[in-house]
Amino acid sequence: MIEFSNVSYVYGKHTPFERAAVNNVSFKIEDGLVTGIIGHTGSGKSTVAQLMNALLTPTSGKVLLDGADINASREISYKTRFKVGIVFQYPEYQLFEETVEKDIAYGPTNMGLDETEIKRRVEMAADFVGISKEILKSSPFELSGGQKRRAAIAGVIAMEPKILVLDEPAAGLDPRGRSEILGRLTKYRQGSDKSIVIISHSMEDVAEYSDRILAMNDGGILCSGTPSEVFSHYDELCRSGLALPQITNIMNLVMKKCKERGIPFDNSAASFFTVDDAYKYLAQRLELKSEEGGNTVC
Amino acid sequence: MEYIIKSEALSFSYDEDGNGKKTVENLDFQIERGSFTAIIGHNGSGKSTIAKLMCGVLEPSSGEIYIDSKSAGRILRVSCDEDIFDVRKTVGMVFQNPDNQLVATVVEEDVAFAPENLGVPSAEIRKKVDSALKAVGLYEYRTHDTHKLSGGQKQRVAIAGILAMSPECVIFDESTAMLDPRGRDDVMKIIKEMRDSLGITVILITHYMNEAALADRIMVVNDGKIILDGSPRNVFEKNEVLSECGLEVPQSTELVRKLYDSGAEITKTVLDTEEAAQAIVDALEKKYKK
Repeated sequence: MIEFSNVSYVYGKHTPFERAAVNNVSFKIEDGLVTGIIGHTGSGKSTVAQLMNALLTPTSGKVLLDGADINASREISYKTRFKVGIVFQYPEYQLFEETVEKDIAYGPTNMGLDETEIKRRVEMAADFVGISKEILKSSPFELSGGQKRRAAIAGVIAMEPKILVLDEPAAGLDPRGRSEILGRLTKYRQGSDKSIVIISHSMEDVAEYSDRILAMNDGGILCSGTPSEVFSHYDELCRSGLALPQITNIMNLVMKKCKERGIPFDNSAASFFTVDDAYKYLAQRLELKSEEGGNTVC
Repeated sequence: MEYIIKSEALSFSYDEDGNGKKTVENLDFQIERGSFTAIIGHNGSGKSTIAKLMCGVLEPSSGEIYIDSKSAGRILRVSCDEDIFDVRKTVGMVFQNPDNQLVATVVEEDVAFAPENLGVPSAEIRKKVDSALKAVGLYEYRTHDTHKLSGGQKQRVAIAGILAMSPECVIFDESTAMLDPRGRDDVMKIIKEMRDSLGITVILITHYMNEAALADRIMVVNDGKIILDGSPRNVFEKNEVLSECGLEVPQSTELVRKLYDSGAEITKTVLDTEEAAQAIVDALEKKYKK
């Protein structure tokens, strides 16, 4: 578990450009869950990510990994980076090796693991992100955009971090690529105490894949909780430049209009955020016979 | 219709000898002057290649793209070396990554970069830069450092840089992919404003279906070919075809369509959250009053 305790981070301290990117923030990232972090540009999301594995040291406050301060010494900070793996935005720009296999092996090699273990991890990571054996032998620069993205993510997964932090893992991918990569990634925690942190601008993706959401605003925390709890803070989210997932938006509008026209509508349905939930509720209200249409009509 | 861009038997291959797999194959299409067209397709479908061909960043392997340029006063050909400068003056492009397209450290200097290079007199540059910055709502930021802006603001500077060249057509290649919801919203508002007030032809390449829904026309590209072409309503009605090529309709469209397919008395195709909510409330009301 990662715990932020009164953490602040100031960029350009003692210069005219001094700015607190993160301001006295406290929260916990629980084991075994997917936590989504949302917030407008400049709200401090990426700074929080870099604080999670000691790439940045807090100006004040403490970041604890399983109860221990990750900035206690340089050695501890160094080791933390193998336990908390960060996949930065557009990680494919960081591919550099001759083959995909070597690129994925870079992290485990630096951890000082033996060859058999490195090989096992490379295969596991490649398999996990859906990269075939043939691709492992090719140059990362011959791959398509989606494959490059997966290869780069595999490089972090091969370190088997306890906490996997992903900054916009699906940005720039087409709809099918998005759901495929997010679906695979969120499986990383299954059957283990590993956890995942996803930073994203897509409310739909965050709503669908997260167990918990942390909404940030101007370096502080706007609200946190389960997706339905967070997305019930409609006005605050909009004011801070965020949005509701499309379905939540529709259900909110439907609720308002139903009230105006005196049609009964359950308030709880207003915070639905997936097409399926909204569909099931509405199908029942409209007394539709078959729910056959329940197969995703993309 | 009066076209601004017309392609004829357009093909392109990234292989030098042109015998390899064609990224774009035998395309014929026209873009109407003053219209707003969205191009959608999965990663690798060829949509960005088409965009780069239209503004002369890439040269066709065979076939031709004609640009009817008012500023040049004639019809340009993108594969013709003498025409290429006029092509790029007529058709501007805004790319995906806001960090890759700013060249100066001060906002107004960045916006002035293109007109300076085009040899525009300096009094004229001042005017063009000011009006471009006003159009994107960043006039107050004209003396700010470019690298201290947010992603959405940087993207707006990049747009202002294009507007300062007074283009007749602007292509946006996934220009909102890296922005937060407000940044995306700002850029989409500017895009609509460019078409409505400045009469600029807009072509938007996007993975966000709710952005494509705002266009007059959607072209769906798959394996280098145009497989669907029509109004957003017509295109989103064919959800199976979209799904086959790795795309999807907006969630609002999907929800209402599912209800329709299960026999609800509801509109078949809606385009945005407003329309979806209206359709759902109407259906609920009908049921309630029965």
